[in-house]
Amino acid sequence: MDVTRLTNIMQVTTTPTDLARARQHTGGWSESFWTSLNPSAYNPLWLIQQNKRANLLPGSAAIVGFRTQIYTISGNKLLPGGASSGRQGLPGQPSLGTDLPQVALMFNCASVTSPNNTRMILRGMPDTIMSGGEYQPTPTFAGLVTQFQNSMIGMNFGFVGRDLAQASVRVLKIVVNVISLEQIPATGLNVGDFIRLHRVYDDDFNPVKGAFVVTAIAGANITVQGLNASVSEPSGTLRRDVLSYFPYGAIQAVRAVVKKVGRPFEQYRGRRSKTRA
Amino acid sequence: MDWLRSCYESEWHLFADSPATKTGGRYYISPPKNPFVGTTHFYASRRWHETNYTKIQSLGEDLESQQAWFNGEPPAVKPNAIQVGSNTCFNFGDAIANALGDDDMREGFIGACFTPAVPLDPLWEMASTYDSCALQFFYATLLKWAGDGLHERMTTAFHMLLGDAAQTFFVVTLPPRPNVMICKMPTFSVVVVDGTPNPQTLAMQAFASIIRPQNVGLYGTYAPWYALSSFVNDLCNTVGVNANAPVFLVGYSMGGAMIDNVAARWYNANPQRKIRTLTFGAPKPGNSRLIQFLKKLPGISIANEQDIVCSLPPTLNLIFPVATALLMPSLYAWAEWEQEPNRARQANNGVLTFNVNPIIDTPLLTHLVTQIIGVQPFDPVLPHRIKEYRRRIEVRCPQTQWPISQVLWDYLHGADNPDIDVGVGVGVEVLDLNLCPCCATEPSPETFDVILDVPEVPELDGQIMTMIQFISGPAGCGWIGMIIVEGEELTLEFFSELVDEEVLFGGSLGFTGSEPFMFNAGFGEADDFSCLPWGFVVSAPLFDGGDPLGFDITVRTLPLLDEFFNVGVALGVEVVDG
Repeated sequence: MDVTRLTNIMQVTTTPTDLARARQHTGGWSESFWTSLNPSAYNPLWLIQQNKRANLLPGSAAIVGFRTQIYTISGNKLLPGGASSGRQGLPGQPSLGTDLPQVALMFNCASVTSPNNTRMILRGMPDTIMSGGEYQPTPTFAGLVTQFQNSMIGMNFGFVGRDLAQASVRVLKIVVNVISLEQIPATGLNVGDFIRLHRVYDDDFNPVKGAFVVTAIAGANITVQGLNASVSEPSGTLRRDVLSYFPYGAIQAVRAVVKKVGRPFEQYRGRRSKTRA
Repeated sequence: MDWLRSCYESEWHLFADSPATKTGGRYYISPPKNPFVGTTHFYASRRWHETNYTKIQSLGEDLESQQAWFNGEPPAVKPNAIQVGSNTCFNFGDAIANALGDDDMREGFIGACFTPAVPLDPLWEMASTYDSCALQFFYATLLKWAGDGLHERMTTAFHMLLGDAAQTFFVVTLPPRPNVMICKMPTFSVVVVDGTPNPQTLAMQAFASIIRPQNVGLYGTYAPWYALSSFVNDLCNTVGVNANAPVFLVGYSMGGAMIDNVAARWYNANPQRKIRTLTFGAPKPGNSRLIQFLKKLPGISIANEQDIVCSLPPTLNLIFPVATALLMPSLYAWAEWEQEPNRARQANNGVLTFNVNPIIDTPLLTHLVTQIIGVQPFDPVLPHRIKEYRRRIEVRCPQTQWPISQVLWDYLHGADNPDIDVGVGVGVEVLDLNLCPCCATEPSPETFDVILDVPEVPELDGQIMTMIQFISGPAGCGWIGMIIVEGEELTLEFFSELVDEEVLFGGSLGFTGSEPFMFNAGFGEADDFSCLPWGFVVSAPLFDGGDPLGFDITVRTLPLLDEFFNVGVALGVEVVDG
């Protein structure tokens, strides 16, 4: 399945008035979400989303660019595909101010089709929506947030995650690559699939973690590659490890959090890596 | 293009039918407003990948390669902001069969990016693609020939490059005017300006005069250079160069400063005109106003690493301690001079480093200032010689590349001309025997044994002269050798650019016959006078009672010390028209 990761490139420039005490700084950050649509379908929807997102930005911030990258979901892995990027120029609202740009708003995003959910954090929130140390939007701003939520729901925008709809089964025993299960998961398990162990501890009480590829299935016993552990008592669960795309079903603002903005994407000359070759 | 917070070097998988093949690449900071690629592609950064889940290697950046930090400096010659290749190739990867070879690369970048995929005028691109090292070698050779007065060779080379449509005009002048070669094509022109017989002194005029750039209206420069640019302008008008057609300007040393002036003036006359420049060893040509004009013109300014002429007049940071120590505030006049844009510093091994200059330190500048105060001639800056520029380019570019054909490449090296051809008239033909280039890193062979057969020249009257030239080595070393000339009525003279105290000779210069001439050359204790030529001139009348004469020369040499290196031998013939 091909999905596309859509990214908005944001930038904020501080606007001190007393230049004897401070000078302007520029920072940048990005916000991403996913879609299963093709470009001709998602472009008009994305533009609406960008406008709604820009309405939540203070006047000194703007959406300055965009980026897309195609991924193919292959089992529990992503196969990166082509990317594209470009400039955008959607400024924030001049009436909204910011101090140190660190206020962010966290949203809880639920999937329509699965128990999966994710958290989305919007950075560069104007400080006028903060009062008493918490998120206290004005009625106008709350309306803008609702518009933003509506621009994300039902538009086939979503997120990618490990599919929690896959059934979990108890692990009874593990003897070098062979896992004995209570039963084969009802949602299916085939040779070549990956499984992931959860809260499984070996006989020495060390956690047994990770994803393993299934090479054989015999009854409720499955054989995997590279699992050198010994578990003689029932411990933890196993689930087929599958990545899936989940469209947003509901988005709710949760609370204000702190997320500083990073280095800008333009004009910044780059930090020299500590591990320069 | 991609959005990145810092630039780096990495490797990419780009070929659909050879996914394991990696291609090195790097990001650099693009100019503002540079357009993005209009389609999806695999040149993007892996730093944008979703980090929560495992990725499978596909086309695009290698997932394991180390990303080496890079400062983001663009190449001196920035690629055009154009898409080269189809969207299909960008979206699905290309075939390995279409991979570019070194011939298609320009200084490590894809050559096609620098020129339109389908050039509007292929000959113009061939004549003016200044970032091609082969073309740089072509023009460095032409400048060397211009200094030697070999206009026939220059003409032949232009014809070999551009075809029979090339019309060439070679103007020989007296110093301080340089020699100028103009090649006129139906759709464009090329102007090559050499550095005069004493290029270093003339290039250092502005520095030696301790003056700030003189206002000439549009900008500030050294007034004599501006006047000489008028001379070039007049020449172009005289020979009928189209003042609106593209023009490629090439200059060496003071000639470089001159063509900078010409370029700025022509740009102001017609900003739409295509003007490209290529300079070797040019000094700072003027003030910031002149540089602002030059920044609008594509070109490259090559400066040898130790060629301090290119860094003169010095910067304010350098001037300050010297002016303070010598109590000479007048030196601050130098501070307004600015270097050419698109500077590429050329190391001894030919490697180019962009946007850096040859280094002058305070002791060296102090020494130069004391020479100015004492009205003494400046010490020769050996890396400033065009021969040295040519040699370093050849190290960087050992084989020919587009647009220079192999035949032309051989002609530039003289490999096509093992026998000296003196039938073309008055001039000097130099055989580059390439035994050991000057300043080579490898020791010379223990002995040279060269036989030169000077042919008979029935068409000319006068005298035939053969120059046997050596290149001096480090102090304390020397040569012994033997010259055998088989002919009659011969004379042999010694010549040297070394001062007398630095070279000691044995043997007799009263040589007039066919007896072997033995010589023993040693060099004094001067710190560094390597790479200066010395040698002998053997001459004979062309006719002896109505029969044309020729003679054979054998040179046999042996270096005195094992560590003697930096040696070259050149043999040449000059026919002096009687």
